[in-house]
Amino acid sequence: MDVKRRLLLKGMTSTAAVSMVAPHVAFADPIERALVTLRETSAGDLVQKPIAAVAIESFKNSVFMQAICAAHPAEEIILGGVDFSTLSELFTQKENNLVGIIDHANAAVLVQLCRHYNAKIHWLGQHAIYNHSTSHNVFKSGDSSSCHASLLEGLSACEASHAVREQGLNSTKISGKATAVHPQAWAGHLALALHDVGKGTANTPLVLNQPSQLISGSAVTFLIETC
Amino acid sequence: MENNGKTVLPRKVTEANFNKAVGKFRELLGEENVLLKNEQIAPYMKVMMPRPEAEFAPSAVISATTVEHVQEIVRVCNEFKIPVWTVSTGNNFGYGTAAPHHAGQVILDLKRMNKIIEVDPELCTALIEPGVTYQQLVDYLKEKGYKLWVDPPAPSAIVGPVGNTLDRGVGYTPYAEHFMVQCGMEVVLANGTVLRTGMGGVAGSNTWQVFKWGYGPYLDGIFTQSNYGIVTKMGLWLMPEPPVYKPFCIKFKNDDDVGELVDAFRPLSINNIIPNGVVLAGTLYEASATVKRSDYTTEKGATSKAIIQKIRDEHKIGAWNMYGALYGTAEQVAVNWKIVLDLVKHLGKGEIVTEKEAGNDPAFKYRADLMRGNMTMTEFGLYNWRGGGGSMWFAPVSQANGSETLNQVNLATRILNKYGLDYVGEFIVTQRCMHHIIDVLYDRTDEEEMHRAHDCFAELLDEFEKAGYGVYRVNNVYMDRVAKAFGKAQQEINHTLKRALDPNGILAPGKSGIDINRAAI
Repeated sequence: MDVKRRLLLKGMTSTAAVSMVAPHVAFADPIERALVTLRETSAGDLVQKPIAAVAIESFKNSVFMQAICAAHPAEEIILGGVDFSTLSELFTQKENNLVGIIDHANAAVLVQLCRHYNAKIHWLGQHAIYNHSTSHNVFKSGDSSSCHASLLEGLSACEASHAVREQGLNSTKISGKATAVHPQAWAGHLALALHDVGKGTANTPLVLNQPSQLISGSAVTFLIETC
Repeated sequence: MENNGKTVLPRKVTEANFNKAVGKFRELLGEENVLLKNEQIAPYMKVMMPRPEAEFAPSAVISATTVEHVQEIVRVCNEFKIPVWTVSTGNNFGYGTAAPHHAGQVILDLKRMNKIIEVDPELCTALIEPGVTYQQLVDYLKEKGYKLWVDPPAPSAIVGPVGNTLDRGVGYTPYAEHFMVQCGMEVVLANGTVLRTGMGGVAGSNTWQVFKWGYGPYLDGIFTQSNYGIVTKMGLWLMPEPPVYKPFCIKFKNDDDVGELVDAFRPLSINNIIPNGVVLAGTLYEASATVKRSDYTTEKGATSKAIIQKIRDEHKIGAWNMYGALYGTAEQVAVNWKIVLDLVKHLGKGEIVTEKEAGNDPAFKYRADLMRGNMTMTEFGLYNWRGGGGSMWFAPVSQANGSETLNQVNLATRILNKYGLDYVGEFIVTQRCMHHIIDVLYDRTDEEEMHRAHDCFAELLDEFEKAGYGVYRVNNVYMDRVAKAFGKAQQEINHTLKRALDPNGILAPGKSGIDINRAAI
């Protein structure tokens, strides 16, 4: 397995340090300004633990991961291939809640591990990105309702048309088209919302300190409470 | 599962009675083993089938640790008429995952019944519980120093022998037909009786795991792909590690080569020259180990022939890629290898690849691992081919005749392409028959594509049935449909058995189209 782990120390980068104290920061790229958002979250049943940010190699520089990393997760974990051993360790360590963006192959394994270890899935988003449209299939628990709103808010700032289907018994479908600001703003909005679920207050602005990598094909996002 | 604070109730069960049953489950199993909240049940809700998740929403999830727990669970279920859908690991991706046939069932997850009760290294047998995974069994054999192999299906590490055998799954070693190497079961019947099949009925017998048939009617088969009992122990045979193992691949360039291939290699399969399940993998199945569709196109619809050819050229993948392996002493393998080489020479086509030529090719390594029972998750790459989380195995059975192959491939490709989907398939040749395994991959996030995939699968079933083909296994959405294809007489006997063994119909209603509370039969 090609597994790379990086521990992100709080305040390690100067940009990140600025973001902690200054909600209004200057952006090199005005497009990225659109990703700054003040989010409303509500405290819920999610047991608060440090967050581990999880991604596959090709998503490690995505807007989603940049947003999470700006919020200083306890750990960043990059998966190599279909990484059963690393994914298993996320549950056996039992230290962190998990927020991430991965492919469908790893997602199939991840959800299985949730069953095996009695972990709770507070958010599971399946996203497809085409040339001129995106589609999203999301599961949310009560705690992560704000994430749904953040996803929609983010999508409204994207140039592509979108369709969002909510799983569950009262499933909803929303579709729309908005003006261009950033092609994948939704991923940044969603990432920060997932990070902040149940924390009560969350005003961390998104800071992008490097060009982000566009997510291509399809992706799965999640918020998992380990037991 | 909660719906705005309300639980999804089983059919014809009142909320009061459901709550009473939940109370009894909690008393029996402990609070932590009775799951009701959405976020607890969500891991059981991710399905790959082309219908909304809500159609499979369980009422609750419970997990047992002992046979006595299972006996008490069926007693409670009978008392309150609660349907219970049992899973061992629930990882039959593409065949339904852990989801029940329809919403409003209690999932009984046997993951905590995971004891390896006995392994006999001389007789090469094992007796295990349903929650035991292949990884766990491999680790155990390694720890004990036993030179024995297991035979996992492609998801390997995370699935288990009991669940896969009960669904009549197949693997890739010489022990590929899992039900053939199963020996003895312990089953909790709907009335709570514990039945031990075969020699397990004889007090003091030590032949439960070595002689399959016992005395009188052979019963084990009726507990596979059925809902007549809950299997709590199962015996199986393990393969002795051979002194020499030689995996190989033969790549063929043309789509039409597949028929000739099957006819050429069938005798080697029947004569046990190549004793394992010989696989003929099509281009896109083979490519999924290393390639994503979005690497080549983000346009919707079926992948063009030009792109498929480009993938073949760039990744050195054949139109058909035949994998097999030789097992035995050095002398046996040398003799059999010469037979294989002579056959390829006689065919006048095919590029032979052994471990030496393959190097680090992930596709070869994946197959070589599977054919010797190693744990590998490479096949999950299929889920990244198109992405979007949709997958259904369409698995018609055919004779191991070349004439069958091209007809089936052309028919399947025509239907799949008509619905904007790809042929991603392989044949597994096991002597006289073939499992034609096609992964119908689609984007579940796109509702329109999900509808297309649903209709596509239905047409595949219809058109293959018209041609005389039946599938060996299917996901929940099509279980009723497939049961009809096997005729009224089979449906009637299945329901007669169900009424006799489970008169309240509490065990997995709908499994394999058997549901006495809904069927007109």
